[in-house]
Amino acid sequence: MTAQAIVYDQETQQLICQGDWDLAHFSHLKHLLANIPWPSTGKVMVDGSAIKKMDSAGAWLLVSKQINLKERGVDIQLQNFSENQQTLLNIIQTKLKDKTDLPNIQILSSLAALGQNTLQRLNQFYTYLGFVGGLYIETLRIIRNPVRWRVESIATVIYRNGYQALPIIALLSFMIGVVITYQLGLQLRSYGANIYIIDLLGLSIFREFSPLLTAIMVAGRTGSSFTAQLGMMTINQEIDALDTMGVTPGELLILPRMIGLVISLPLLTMWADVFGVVGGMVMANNMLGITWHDFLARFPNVIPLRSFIIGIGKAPVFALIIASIGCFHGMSVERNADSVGRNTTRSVVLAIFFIIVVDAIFSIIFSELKL
Amino acid sequence: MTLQTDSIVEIKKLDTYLGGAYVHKNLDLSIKRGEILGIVGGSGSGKTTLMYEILGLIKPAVGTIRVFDYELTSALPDDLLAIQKRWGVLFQQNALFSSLTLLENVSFPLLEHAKLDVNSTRELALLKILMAGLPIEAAVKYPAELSGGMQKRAGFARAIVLDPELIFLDEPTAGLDPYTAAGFDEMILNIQRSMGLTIVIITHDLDSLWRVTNRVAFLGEGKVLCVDTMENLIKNPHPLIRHFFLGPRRRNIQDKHDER
Repeated sequence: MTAQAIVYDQETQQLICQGDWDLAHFSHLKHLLANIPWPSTGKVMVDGSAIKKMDSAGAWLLVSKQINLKERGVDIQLQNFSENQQTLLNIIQTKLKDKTDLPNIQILSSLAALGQNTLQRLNQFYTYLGFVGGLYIETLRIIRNPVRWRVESIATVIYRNGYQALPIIALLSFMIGVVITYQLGLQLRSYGANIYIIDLLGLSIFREFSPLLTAIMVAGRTGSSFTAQLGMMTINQEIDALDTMGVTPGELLILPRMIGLVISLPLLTMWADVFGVVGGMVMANNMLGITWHDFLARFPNVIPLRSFIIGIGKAPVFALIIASIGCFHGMSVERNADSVGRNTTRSVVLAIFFIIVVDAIFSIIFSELKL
Repeated sequence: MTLQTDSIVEIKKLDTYLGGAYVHKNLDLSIKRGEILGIVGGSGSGKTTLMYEILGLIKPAVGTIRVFDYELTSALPDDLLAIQKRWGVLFQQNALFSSLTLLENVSFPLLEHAKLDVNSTRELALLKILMAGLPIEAAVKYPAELSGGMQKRAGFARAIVLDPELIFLDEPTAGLDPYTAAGFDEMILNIQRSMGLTIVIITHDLDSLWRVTNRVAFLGEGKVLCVDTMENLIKNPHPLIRHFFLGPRRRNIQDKHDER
């Protein structure tokens, strides 16, 4: 039936349309229309009396053909269409008449894109500095006014991002302790220096592994949630609403998150220290034959308190990095779903990146100070 | 024309249980093919919930919903897809895909379901954008860059892009200035007349109700209290309906009524 959707009589230059002219038959109709031997000049009558059903896709085909042929000097006249079909054709004719080309979207050359990207990153860094500066001023404002200390919000942050992270952090550091002991133990055993595992384990866990791993874990767990929460609030105009109510988002949302994390990350690091050492102790007992008693007796003699304090001391700095980057990216979300995802990824990646950079800087400083 | 009297949606004995309470209780409604049906009712009377149920997004507790002669609550996935290709929806918040440009938004259903060549897809999408009364420059913009009224039109363009037989409009004129809202009404009428659509409009906009609807269903007490033309509906003695139409803003309606 659709095979005869178009009948063209070359003699009388008349074209009869039949059947269903709708989206379902669109490709077929388009093909048929393209294969008609259109005359080079003159008039073609298009008769629509036999059309059973026409929707805007079918009507568009006819109208666009009409416009197309007019440019070549052929005049198509549409006739015998039903009233509804004629209205539809008229609407489409008027709409296509004022249609202009789509504005061009500029595609940047790779060099220009590189430049633009660089400028954007620099600009973002600049904004980030402004954000941190603003927070500093906020802190000074709020610190004098204890009524504005959001103790409840801080407690919630500590509960969600500290307390609820305890099991995963414990498990993770226990396993790290086991792994380190296993790897180092293999080497030490061949020299008969089994007992030195305590020194190595204690120092590496306290100074590097537990602060670093805890921070990375928290960056993935907490940094991403800060970005997503604040990003959603930005999209929902909740941040704007707060601003108009005389409560700054810094005071209600950002500072509690920063303070809460600065409190909980050192505690989590301490927690990780404990389980890292316990993990090592279990492995040393099984693999190297060091008894619990020997381990615990030697431990305070060879591991200075300094190592523990250095490890814990890095944690607040990491916490500031995670919270400020997480909140900053949350606040700079644009109003689309893509942006939330992009900023969340960016916040975690940047936080981990800067944690490691800062850790390296700490190592240099400590070695200069001979700590 | 027997088709005109056919009902396109048939709801029978519908109960909806949400959040610990019945939203609808024993609700019946039939939507005729080719009509523009308004759904009104106070806030929280379950208008949007009813639309979500017809769309299959919320399952009713009891009752049957027939759409295009398919039983929706027990439809097989293939049938459901067939139904979904035949309707278009404009959501209250427009629900445009925020990470796609307007043109990509409107092309999306075509790309998924129509399987046309790239150029035709683009041209048809552009046609719908123009038919919805948007300027062509808007096509390359993202939803966040459009004004509220333009977003509504964009949502409408996406709803009509597959030339559906049934269109749902949830508060299409809410938040629009009177002039734009009137333009929106005209556009709905125009497109309905020329394409012979069935349109369901949920609205609080009394001007819209007078201008575009053939019949209006009034939702209250968990059921449809009355389905009738606006002229007859405002004469209904039911207290909820009287309260709705004869509130402090009554003057406006009666003027409209007198005009006609």
